[in-house]
Amino acid sequence: MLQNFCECYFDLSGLILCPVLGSIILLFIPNSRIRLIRLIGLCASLLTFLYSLVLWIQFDPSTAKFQFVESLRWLPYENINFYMGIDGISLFFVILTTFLVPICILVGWSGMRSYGKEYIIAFLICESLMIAVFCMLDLLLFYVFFESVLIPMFIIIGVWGSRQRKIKAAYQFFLYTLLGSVFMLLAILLILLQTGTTDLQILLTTELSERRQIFLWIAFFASFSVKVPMVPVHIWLPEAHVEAPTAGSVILAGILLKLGTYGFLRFSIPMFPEATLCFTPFIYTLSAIAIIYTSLTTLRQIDLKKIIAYSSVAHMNLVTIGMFSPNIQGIGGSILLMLSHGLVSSALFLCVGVLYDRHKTRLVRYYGGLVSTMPNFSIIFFFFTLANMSLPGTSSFIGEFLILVGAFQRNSLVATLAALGMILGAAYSLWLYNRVVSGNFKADFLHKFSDLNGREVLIFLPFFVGVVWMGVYPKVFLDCMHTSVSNLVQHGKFH
Amino acid sequence: WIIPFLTLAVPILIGLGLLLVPPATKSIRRIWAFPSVLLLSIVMVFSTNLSIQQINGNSIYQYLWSWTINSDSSLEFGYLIDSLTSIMSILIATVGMMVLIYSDNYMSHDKGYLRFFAYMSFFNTSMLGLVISPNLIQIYIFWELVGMCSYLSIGFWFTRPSAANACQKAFVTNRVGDFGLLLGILGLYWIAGSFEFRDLFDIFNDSIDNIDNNVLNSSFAILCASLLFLGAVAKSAQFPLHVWLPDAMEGPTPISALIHAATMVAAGIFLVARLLPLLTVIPYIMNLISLIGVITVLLGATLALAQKDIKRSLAYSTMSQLGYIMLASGIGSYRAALFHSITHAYSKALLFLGSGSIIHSMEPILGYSPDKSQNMVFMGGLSKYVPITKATFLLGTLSLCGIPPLACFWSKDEILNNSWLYSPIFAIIASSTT
Repeated sequence: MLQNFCECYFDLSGLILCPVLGSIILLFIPNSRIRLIRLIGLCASLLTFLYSLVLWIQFDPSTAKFQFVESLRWLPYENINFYMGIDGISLFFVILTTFLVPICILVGWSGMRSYGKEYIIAFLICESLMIAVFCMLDLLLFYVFFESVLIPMFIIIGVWGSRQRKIKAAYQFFLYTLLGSVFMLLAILLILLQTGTTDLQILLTTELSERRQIFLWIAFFASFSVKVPMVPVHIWLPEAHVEAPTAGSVILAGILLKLGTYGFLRFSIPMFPEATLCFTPFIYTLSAIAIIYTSLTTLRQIDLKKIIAYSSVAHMNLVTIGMFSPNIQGIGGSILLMLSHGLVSSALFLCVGVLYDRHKTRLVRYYGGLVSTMPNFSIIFFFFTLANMSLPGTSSFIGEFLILVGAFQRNSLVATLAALGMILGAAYSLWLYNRVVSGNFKADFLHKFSDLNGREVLIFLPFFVGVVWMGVYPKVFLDCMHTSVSNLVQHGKFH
Repeated sequence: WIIPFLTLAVPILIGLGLLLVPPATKSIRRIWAFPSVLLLSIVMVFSTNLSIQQINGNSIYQYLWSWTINSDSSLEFGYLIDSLTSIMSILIATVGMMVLIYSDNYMSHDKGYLRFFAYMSFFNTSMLGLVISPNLIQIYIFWELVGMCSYLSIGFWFTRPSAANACQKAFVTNRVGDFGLLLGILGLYWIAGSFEFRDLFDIFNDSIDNIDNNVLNSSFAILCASLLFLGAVAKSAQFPLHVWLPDAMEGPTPISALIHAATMVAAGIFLVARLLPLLTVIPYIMNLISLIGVITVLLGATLALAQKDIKRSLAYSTMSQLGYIMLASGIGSYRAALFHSITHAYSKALLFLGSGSIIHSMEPILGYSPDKSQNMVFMGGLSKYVPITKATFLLGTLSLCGIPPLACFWSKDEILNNSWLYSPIFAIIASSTT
């Protein structure tokens, strides 16, 4: 009976609506009752998380078809519907999203900010939009939600960021992404006019001429590459991260960066296989340049968040290398690295947030010898630094290793350059950790001595568990996505 | 599988204890040495047992457990026990046990006592896991873990900036080697389609027979093998990547004894020894290995003469001896290389522990800064005061020099013999730096 109940009531529209309902309830509560607001926000997001776990349990990993499919009418004339579904690839992104948002709400728990209610509402709306992005199987609606995620993020960065530069950063963030996306909109319209539908499942079976494919691929690339971010258009990321509040950075690094690569995985590669083959060397070149360039740039940074932001860029470009290698290891590894990066980078941003909360500065030169006063923090920071460096035993290793295996089989030079990024990754991550934690305690600058409090340990614990679980026993994750990934590879090879 | 994971229990327990009940855990700190030593001695008993079985029957156990399965490839986790493994595990277990017993007293006054034992036990775990690995992936995993342990251990006294710099230097240099190792692994996977040692050996043996057919194969194989060797170079402090070893003396002396005498530097040797059947078919690699070995020998010995710090001169001496071992592997005398690595491990551990005792005795006089207490210029004529240490230190030094009938004589002699057969130049260089 429980099974029946689950099947009747648990579906994707419910999942998307849950946070929205939470925010609607929050609208009616006066701003003064901050504790109630926080509690309701946390409950709504936790409920969504549990909901997504139910979806995971119910997920059938043996088929590559989309599951929990539903279709709601939107524009009947052009036959565009809210066509939602999950397969092995999107399942984990949905879970990642619902996992990260309660943490974000927990981060803002101490109520020291203004507009507390709006903060939580913004995060909840952002959550439902992000889940919608990962579920949508209709091209136009994917685009709508893809862009609409920018709105709450713009507000989060602009209102709750920490410095005056935040306005400029928010504008930069918004306009960069929007500019690329205009091309994607044109491409979608072209597809609509040519094939008469924007439904993904139908589009997967239509054949487009190679020239048309190339043109559409470039347009999609324009949009997704900004989000990934790939090298020429990555500048928005460090700015946005530095200016965003801690929870905003967590969402940005954890999920928004995945939107770009998810778009590649879901739309560019399956729909335009010949163009993908054509452009793979291009992507490889850009990604290899990006990994080495950003890793080297990280060594020169002085702002903690910028260092981690550039490291995010390096990891995401490793993901694109993996994604464009047409074998299971490459794509599976890239998905795993995406998930792991969502956990690890978010955890690192949380670490930086902990430091920022105490000392109100993010410049590395003011930190040193923190292990004397904050030993628990040092342990946690060390663990996530190791995860960032892809130490075996953490999830990043599995992802990175599989990507390198996959890439090596395609093009060994690229794999070599990507592995070079591994050394550089160790260099900057460890250097950062060393400067901040070891050495002499800089008593001139550091006046607060409190180690992590219970709430902060609670925040880090799920990340720790997630990284270790994925690192030591990734089979659970790999099995779930296996069928969908092999389907993708087959589809790509077929044409 | 009991072998590595038994010692893992200790750091986990210590860690949990420190997290959950810090006052209680810290008050019984001296007692924590006991389970460490106990578990390690259990491991030693096991490994002795195994090696006796090996000597008698020469049976090879292998057990594999599937870790991840894709349709194309599956990574497996398990263990492989053969003669090489059992010897190495006895080595690690015994040296580790001695060092643990020593460090109980050495670190007794140190505030980070518990952390020290946690690191040591974790290090033992990783090292043991390394030697029982059945495939390259597992070696890589434990290789990196050993590197991480060395980072933690060298930077044990993290408030000293020089220690902080040193541990980072060690890890990053190690990472450069890991880059080579990983690429070598991937390359071998591409050629051979598998990570398992047995499969690799079979495929390589087969491909020797038709080596004339695929010339491309052989140059790529050379590249892969040299990349793998790069990993060993970094770990065993051979010539280009030896820079971390002298600075690694910032760690406490038992750590130096464990890491740099016995185990971690032996990890590189182990890798080369494990892959020797693979490498012997590629003459270029063997030349390369022996060349780098000889350079290291010369470099280490020369630099050791110019040192004032006890531990640093021992570090350079370690480097030189490792060069010997690499040289022996490079010329193909597998037995000599392993024999020398075992004898060297014991002798060097003895020397380090002896130097630790000297340092401790100098400290009340000269002060606690390592610049002073480790400085050999201030020492001299100590035999009146520390006769036991003097005797043991002398034994260790003589042994290392290769004076008969002490241990290293037999192994060094064999290396020198074999290197003469291989190339007289090498032998002249090698014997001149003894």
